[in-house]
Amino acid sequence: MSKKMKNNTPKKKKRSTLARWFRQTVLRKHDIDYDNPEVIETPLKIVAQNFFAKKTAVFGVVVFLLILLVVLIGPYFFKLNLGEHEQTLIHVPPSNNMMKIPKEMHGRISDIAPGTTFGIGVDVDGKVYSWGHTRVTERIDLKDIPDEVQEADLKMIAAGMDHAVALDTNGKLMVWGNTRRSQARFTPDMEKAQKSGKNWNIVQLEAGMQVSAALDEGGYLYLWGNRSNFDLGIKREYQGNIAKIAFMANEYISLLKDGNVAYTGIKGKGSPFSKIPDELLQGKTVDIAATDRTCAGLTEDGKVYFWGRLEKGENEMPEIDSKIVKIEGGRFHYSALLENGNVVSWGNNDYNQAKAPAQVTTGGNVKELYVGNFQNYAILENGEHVTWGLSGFPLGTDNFGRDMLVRIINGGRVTMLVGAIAVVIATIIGVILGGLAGYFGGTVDIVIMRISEVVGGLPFIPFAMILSAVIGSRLDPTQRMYLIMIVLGILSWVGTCRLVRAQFFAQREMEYVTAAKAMGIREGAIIFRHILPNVFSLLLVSMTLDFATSMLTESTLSYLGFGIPLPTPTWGNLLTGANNSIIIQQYWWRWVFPAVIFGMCTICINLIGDGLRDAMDPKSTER
Amino acid sequence: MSLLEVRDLNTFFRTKHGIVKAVNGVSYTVEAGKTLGIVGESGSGKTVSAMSILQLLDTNGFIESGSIKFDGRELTTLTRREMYEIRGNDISVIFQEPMTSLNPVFTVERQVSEPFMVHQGLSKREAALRVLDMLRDVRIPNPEVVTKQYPHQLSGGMRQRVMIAMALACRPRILIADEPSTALDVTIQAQILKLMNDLQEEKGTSIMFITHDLGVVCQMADDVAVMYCGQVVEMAPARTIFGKPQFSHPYTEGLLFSIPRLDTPSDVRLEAIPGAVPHPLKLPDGCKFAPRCKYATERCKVEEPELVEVQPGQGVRCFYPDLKERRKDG
Repeated sequence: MSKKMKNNTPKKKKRSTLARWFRQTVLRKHDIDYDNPEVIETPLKIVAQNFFAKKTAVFGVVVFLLILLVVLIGPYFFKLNLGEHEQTLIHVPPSNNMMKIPKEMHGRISDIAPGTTFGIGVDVDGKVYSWGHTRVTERIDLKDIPDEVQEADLKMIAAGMDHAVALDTNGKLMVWGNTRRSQARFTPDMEKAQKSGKNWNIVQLEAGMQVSAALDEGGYLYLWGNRSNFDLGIKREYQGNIAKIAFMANEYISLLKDGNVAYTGIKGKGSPFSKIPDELLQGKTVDIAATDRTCAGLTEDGKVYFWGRLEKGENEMPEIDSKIVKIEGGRFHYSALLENGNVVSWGNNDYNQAKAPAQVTTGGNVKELYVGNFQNYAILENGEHVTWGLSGFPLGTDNFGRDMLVRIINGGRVTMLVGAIAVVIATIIGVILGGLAGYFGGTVDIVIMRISEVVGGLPFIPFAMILSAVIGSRLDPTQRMYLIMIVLGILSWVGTCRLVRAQFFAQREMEYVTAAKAMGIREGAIIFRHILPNVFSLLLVSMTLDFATSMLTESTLSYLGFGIPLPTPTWGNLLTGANNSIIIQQYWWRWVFPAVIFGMCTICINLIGDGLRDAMDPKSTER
Repeated sequence: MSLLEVRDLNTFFRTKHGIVKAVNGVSYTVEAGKTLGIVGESGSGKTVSAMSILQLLDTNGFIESGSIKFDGRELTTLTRREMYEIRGNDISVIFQEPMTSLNPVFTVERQVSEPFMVHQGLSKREAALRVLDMLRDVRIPNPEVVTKQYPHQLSGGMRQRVMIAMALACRPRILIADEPSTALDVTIQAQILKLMNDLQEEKGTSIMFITHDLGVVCQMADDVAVMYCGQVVEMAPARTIFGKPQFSHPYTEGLLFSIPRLDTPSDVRLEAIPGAVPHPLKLPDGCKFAPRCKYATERCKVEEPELVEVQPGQGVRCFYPDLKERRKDG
């Protein structure tokens, strides 16, 4: 065996035993393996090895890095819009089903009424389904479709913000959902018409923000619902002359039978929507549609004209190569069905509602198009359906209809930034003062420690509250963020200072300090270049733990309303609303998610800190 | 003129219980290229007198009076800034504990290059090259590897070599070696001492060798100062002390009796000096050694002897310096 091994070993690496003996005994030379000097183990490497041997520490690092990554990179993908306020999306629970048409309806869709966050659909058998966020209040849920609706032979359905309307073939109107705001209180002339059947051949049924409309074939318009915000009237001269209507947020416009567009509400000229483009007053208008704040009119020659408050790109219609058959408005966008069976969407794209998939923009087989506030449903010729737009919020929305996910990600960045900078400030002050006190001792020490006791004795939260109230009122939100960082830093250096001082007391008696002095090295250099590296390991641990504390303190202040003001999100002020039982019970997603991620983050930081401490001082685990 | 001349140095420490006179009127000289051995028990003021030279006393210590002349320059009146230039450059120190006198978080390269960068203003890279030369000078095998290592990876002897390399980096005129071999085992001790002797020959550095080991002094020193209770009790060439002296201080005599010699018959017990060093705050009047001295007379207990030159080159602080006479009387 030895023979074989010898043959296999490369000659370069090993000399024969004889030659080695000769060199060692006669020439007195020893083989020193210069190629493989002793593996150099730096203290850092040893600490790292110890650290990564600990499972909890590794877990902490991994989770923390994940959170950090999300928080650092996330804001570039989940852009924060500080002015965001979407009334129709308030307190939407975590969901992903706003466009999820039930399986039973697949391929058998006969009609869809898209609401704000939900949809109502009828299949070919006349069965009614609902999907999405249908809950209006604790008691009222649009999912509870009344039996009379389910049994009736439906002709039309419509869905608004919190109610739905259905009309059966006998001309019977049924309303369900929220009816507290007169959504089901029909006007006297409606009831008369319903009873007599005169002027009650309904061709269009619309539902909006707590209001509904029914249009008779003969041009009679019936409006009912919550009048407080809505221009829910019709000028007498237009009655009997209306061909189609479209709801904006608080008003409506009408297409008249003569091919003109008119603002038929009571406000008349007082409404901004009454300034209708001249092209639509030539008697050649064929269709109208409206978003929240804009209107669109389609003329015979296929041109579309917009008016109203065009702030969200509602008029940025792309070039189209076909004639528009039907135009529908969402809350901030339009979608149109073309003659060639394609669909185009434009306008505001916050929820991808104006980004129709290629299947419907080029497929050429769309049969029908339904547009809700932020949702689009296209029914293809083969009965299948394609949807685009808002399907839900993975972490729900808050009391202003803002996406919690976006706010948590952006809030994390603010919280971590504030925590990190506060720790850096506190550490710099603590190290300088602690180092001076510990190295020089005596009077310097006494003076510095008395100062630190005064600062440490300040009641932190009240002091920070007073400071931020007195100075903060004059600052803008960004400056206020810096103020919080500085306040936190200035008030929290005491612990670091004491730690550094105690360490310096021990270190300055070490002989290497005397040796450094004897080498002619100046005191400043000894303190910060010779002693500080020896203290750094402990400092790192304390910095890590302080980071978690600073984040918590910032959150406490923000929660109390003295930290970073809304609407800038932080993990602390995301929890601000969670101080009453309604939010805690009903809108659990508003506090559970921020609390969970924040808790995870601080726990992980503490795990890292503990792991570091154990790694640097193996004795601490031997209890 | 001597390279270093210490005259009537008094270094005191303020403590809660009073002023401790750690060094009390000490005088000695270090000649260029020679070695002065300072011998004495713990607490006899050896180290304090040496540290007084560099003004590296603890914050409660101060030089009460006396003069320290280095190359004709008075050191006691120098400013802080001027002292930085002396330390490590003209006079440097090797400490007793090689384990703790190197900074544990610095590599050897970083430690040894520090004096080059501080005193000679070399860049990091230039200093690193000089470090390798220095490590070779102190006979460190494989300096390329050692230079990247940390103190905890080195043995005691290697650390002391690094320490010596650091101390000799700027070619100081005087090297103060404060018990450099005490913490080492005997074989390494011999190597280090030989190294110091060799380096002294090569570079002509003067050495102030502080130790309590008479054997080491005998091997290293040209002149010897024996210290007791903050005073020099005997000052003589090493040859005189370790030969067959005519004059000697009883303390030196006691020290020499208390170490084994090759020519001591095996049945003779070593003689210990009775008693203990007096408390620094309750020093006796008269001769400080009187309470432990077997030759002490009434005069010794009342009157303090001066350091008297009994023969050229030898000074003894005793009323009865002649060895034969006092033995006869005792």
